[in-house]
Amino acid sequence: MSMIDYKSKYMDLKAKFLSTVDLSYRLGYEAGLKDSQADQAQQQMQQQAAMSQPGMPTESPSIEDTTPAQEQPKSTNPNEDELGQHIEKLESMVAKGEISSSEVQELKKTLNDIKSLQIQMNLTKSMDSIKHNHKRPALTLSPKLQANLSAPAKKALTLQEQIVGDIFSKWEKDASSTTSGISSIIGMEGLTKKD
Amino acid sequence: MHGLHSSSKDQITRLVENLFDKTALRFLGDHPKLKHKKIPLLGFEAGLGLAALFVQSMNNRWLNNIEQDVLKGLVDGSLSYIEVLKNKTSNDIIQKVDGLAREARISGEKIPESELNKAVQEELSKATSHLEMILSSESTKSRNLGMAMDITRAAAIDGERDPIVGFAVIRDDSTCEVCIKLNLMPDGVTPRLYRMSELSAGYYKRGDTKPSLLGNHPRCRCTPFNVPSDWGFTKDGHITFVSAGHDALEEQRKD
Repeated sequence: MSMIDYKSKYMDLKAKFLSTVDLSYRLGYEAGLKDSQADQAQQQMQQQAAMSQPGMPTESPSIEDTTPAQEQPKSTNPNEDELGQHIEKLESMVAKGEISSSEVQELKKTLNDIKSLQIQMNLTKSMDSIKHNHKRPALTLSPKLQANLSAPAKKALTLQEQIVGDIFSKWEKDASSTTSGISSIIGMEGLTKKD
Repeated sequence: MHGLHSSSKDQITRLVENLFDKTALRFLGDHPKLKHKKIPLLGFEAGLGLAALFVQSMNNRWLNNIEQDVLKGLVDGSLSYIEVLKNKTSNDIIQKVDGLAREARISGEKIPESELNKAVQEELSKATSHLEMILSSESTKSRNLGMAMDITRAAAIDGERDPIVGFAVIRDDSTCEVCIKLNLMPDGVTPRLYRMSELSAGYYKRGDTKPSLLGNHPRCRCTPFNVPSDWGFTKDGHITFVSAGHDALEEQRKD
């Protein structure tokens, strides 16, 4: 039976995983940049269309015409799938138990490390997408977007966005002053030190 | 081993309470339960909240007794949600800081300021996302209820007890799939119609087959509107007069 060098296999996997993380970050960053540029361009087009024909429904392309329904961003990174395949392969080898018990223990540990790293990576992506969602652009009602909305409804919708937006901008300021307030209270007890 | 002094705990509680009370005042305006708090707010801040939104949704007219009572219920409900979150956040922060203080006293090592700030900010960011959900869903509820009451009042004048309603869907890349499925016909443009009595009047639950009058999710922008008899929709989904005797709801359900 040929000997398999599990350590070098693990090192390979780890290197691949790290390069995957780098690549995912770069791809995500680039995609985000492109999206924001496209959004800005669309908003400008809508505003121009609205200004050129006040009160009239325009035939200008709106978001729904020009862009297909946005789906959740799917990973186009082949390395990520490969990583999953390697994990599966290692898992099946461990399950067969054709190797010595000490090696099995080591492999199990390695697998757990890789899995936790994978989970961490997914969590980071999710957190990033949540942050991105939180900062949704302000509502701009182009003539096509406001179909069937009466004037009071339009005002109410804008008012709602304004109220919630204002409260949150003030909340963020107040929350940071609360944090520093708490820090100074603990400082008075002599329990904190400067970094 | 003791952690924080009780006086420090009280001070922290007051700070966190103040943060939430200010927000509640901004959102709900002068509420009897917040009167004694003595929190200064600028005049324009106090006038722009949930009540203003409700009145705007009702086309800025005087509220009758029933409508006033509905508004009172909305304001009280929102305040109770904020109060619960306030108490939870205050307690969570104190527990976390108390733990850090206890560890510092046991080990004799002081807490780095950055670590303390991070711990507090973690709790506050949790509270922020909960608060966002409360504010968004309660304001959507208030807006849609105001619109629905206005529709009911206008329909009653025409002798219609159970008016036909659709939801104006703002279609952009933030529009959710549930709203598209429940509030639009399969063509993705024409609003789907319901009798007012068919709509759910509670919070929407995943899997419900009828949209909720209170909005399908916290940041829902779908707004109810009335479709009187004889009226229907153009190809673009805009409401228009069709012909005498035209019943848009029946037309949709016939297919």
